[in-house]
Amino acid sequence: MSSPETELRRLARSLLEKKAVDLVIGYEKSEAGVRPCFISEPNEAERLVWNPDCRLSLVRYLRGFKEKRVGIIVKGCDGRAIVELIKENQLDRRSTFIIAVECNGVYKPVKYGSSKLGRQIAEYCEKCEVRISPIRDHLIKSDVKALERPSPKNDGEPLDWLSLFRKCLRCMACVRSCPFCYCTECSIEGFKPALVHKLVDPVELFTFHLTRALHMAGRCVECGACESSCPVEIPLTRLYHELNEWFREKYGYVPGVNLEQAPPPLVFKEGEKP
Amino acid sequence: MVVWKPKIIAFTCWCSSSGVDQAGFEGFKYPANVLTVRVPCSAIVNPSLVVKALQEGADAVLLTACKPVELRKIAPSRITEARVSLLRRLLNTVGVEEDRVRILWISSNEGGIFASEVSRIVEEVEKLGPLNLRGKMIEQP
Ligand code: SF4
Ligand code: SF4
Ligand code: SF4
Repeated sequence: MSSPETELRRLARSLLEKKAVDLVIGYEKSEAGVRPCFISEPNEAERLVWNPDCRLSLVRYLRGFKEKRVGIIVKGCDGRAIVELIKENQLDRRSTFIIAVECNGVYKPVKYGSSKLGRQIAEYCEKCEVRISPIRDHLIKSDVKALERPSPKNDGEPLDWLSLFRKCLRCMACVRSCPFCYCTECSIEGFKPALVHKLVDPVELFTFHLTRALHMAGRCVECGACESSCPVEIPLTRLYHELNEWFREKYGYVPGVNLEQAPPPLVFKEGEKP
Repeated sequence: MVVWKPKIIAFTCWCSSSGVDQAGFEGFKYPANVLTVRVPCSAIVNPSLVVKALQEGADAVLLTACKPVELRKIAPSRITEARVSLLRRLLNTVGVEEDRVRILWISSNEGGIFASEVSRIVEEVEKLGPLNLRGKMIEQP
């Protein structure tokens, strides 16, 4: 059996040759590990790579190619994001070719200056239960065994969120990297009068982070893109996980696992009592 | 020495604000630290505004709304209720007492209930003490 990477390249090449898609979004090698790449020529398919550094979700790029047929490489969480976006009418399923790759967990990003040795699996991957995208056109099995998952350790102890928020630089990398932050005018930046002013008062970080958490509740698929792009390493997914738990307890709803299940509480059944 | 008194913002929906008015007409006494903001419906209150009120120095935020009645298929109060419940969970997670955000079911003729409930809530918030987010987030060593 060939490695997932070889299979991926072969598939991308044949899709492009057959003109089944106009473009394949995947990962390629870069100095820092990997970076997203957009491939439209069959010969360029050799650039594609697949390894545990492919942590950042590519789903957010789909909205830039609404007119095209796009092939996209997704992990389990990214596939869930696609499901959720279809429910929110943000994606056309028919013009998207979903290449699901079995995911065994990704590494935490290497911070500038730290050694590459002793790489650790990301915290949100420890909790992950959906390693293969629930929606797909092609599945590529992985040949390596799952990365070693340490048993979730610091789950119980509460974090000091207020001082974590205080570290935030308001760089908006979390908003830019998230598949669900597709608002053309983000309520955090765009409103007038502004809900949160950039670079003014640190106490506004409270409203910023709580607002974003509220917008992610019941939608966040815990892909970790926000947290991995955060320069000050705020464990944002843990906050959003807590709100997803509320949805799970109250409505039995888990974002992205079932295309048929409507997102509560937007939907009421006829005659349902309040 | 200045005695600390809690500041409470109440978002009152159209119907329940007539309840609040009635409390005034009929001479029910309720503490003056509750500032009311009249809104068309409780479900129009964006939870971000509740958070913003806490950030700007409110010690507690109150939403008064019509009781979710069985008559209507979609009761907006139900949306408010869900949002407040979610928001309380979030506040709890980030280390702010969840009892600082509450809902009160007040109909347009329930001035007396409003007055007594608010007095109770003010007492409870006094027990919680000042929120002082600014101090917690900035002036901390
Ligand atoms: S909030 Fe973060 S973890 Fe959740 S979907 Fe967005 S990027 Fe992924
Ligand atoms: S933070 Fe909220 S308003 Fe801003 S882009 Fe994300 S979902 Fe939209
Ligand atoms: S990425 Fe981190 S530092 Fe930047 S705005 Fe988001 S939370 Fe703040």
